Amino acid sequence: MLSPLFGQLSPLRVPTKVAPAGDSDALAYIAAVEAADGQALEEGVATAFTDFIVGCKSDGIWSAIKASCILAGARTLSGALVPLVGSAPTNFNFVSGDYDRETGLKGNASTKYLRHSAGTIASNQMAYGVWVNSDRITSQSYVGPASLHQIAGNTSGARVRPGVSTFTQMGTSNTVPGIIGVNLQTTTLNWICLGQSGSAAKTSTGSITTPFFVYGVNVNSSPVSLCASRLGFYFIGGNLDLALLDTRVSTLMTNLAAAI
Amino acid sequence: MTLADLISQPVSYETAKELAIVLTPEQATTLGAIQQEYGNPQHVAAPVPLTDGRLMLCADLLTETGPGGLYAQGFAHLPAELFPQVAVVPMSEAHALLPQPDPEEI
Repeated sequence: MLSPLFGQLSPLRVPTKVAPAGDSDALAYIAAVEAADGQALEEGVATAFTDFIVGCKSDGIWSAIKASCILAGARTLSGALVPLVGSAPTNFNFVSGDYDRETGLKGNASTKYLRHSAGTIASNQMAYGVWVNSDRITSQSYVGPASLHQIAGNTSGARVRPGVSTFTQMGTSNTVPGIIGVNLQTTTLNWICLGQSGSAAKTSTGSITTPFFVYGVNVNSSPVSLCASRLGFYFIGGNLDLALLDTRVSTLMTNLAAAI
Repeated sequence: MTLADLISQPVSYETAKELAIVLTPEQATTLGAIQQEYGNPQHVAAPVPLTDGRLMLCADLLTETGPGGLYAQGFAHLPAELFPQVAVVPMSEAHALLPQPDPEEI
């Protein structure tokens, strides 16, 4: 007769993977990625995801992120499009061949983009941006919910429209990989761009209700100014410390590359 | 070349990404309706407009139309008689017809 514990505590039953200690959000995210991939992640990848999420929480920036994807680490494109938080993005025209789990998802400057809704965000309490791994652009747009709110490329650095038609230049760095992002808070625009950072005055008010497009900008629900960059991460949300997020994403990408 | 020619044999991602599937507005409407009814709403094959009134898709979508592919559900319901009527051209040719405004202009 078999013991009632047979199959549960048998000394011969060895777990195939030790789950990283942790955090319920990290465990839920990893489980969702593995379900989308159809197989388990390597322990090192799961640990990199966990360390990123736990780290963002300890930095106090996690709760500000309302819509985001880690476009690396997962085994498949479907896994990479599992939302880190919030609802899932809609993929327009990307295919598995565009995805590299070490370096990210590459646009083609013509047909491919993501649409991700972050709900309603006050434009003076908003942060968003992308991690550019390669193929930095000198024109076109990386991300934006409207023509007056977009981050675009430039011959050096990048530029942002903080709710007005005039672009604000963000640095002069051409060095990738790195994060390009903005934090719009009350009357100040803080930016970070490929290792440089700065601030400027801003005057816009109102709320953003339209979905963000990534790899381009949402202009009246149409994708415009699409880019061919390879991105590893993007985020949309409320105010947060861009430097802390930059450090966390940099570590995440390094750890993922080492684990794969 | 037509879409029927292209799908007559397996096509690699590297080859397909250099080709564009060019649709008339009527063909794009048919594709959209089928996508709406049968496609996966998280993965949408959405043609983009060209300056001559036609629309285009990157042909690498064909790498995701087999069993388990991201766009397989919608593709399986496309009428086969449509394929010989759909043009396939080099991506460089279609790309030249894309509206590409500088971000300053939008």
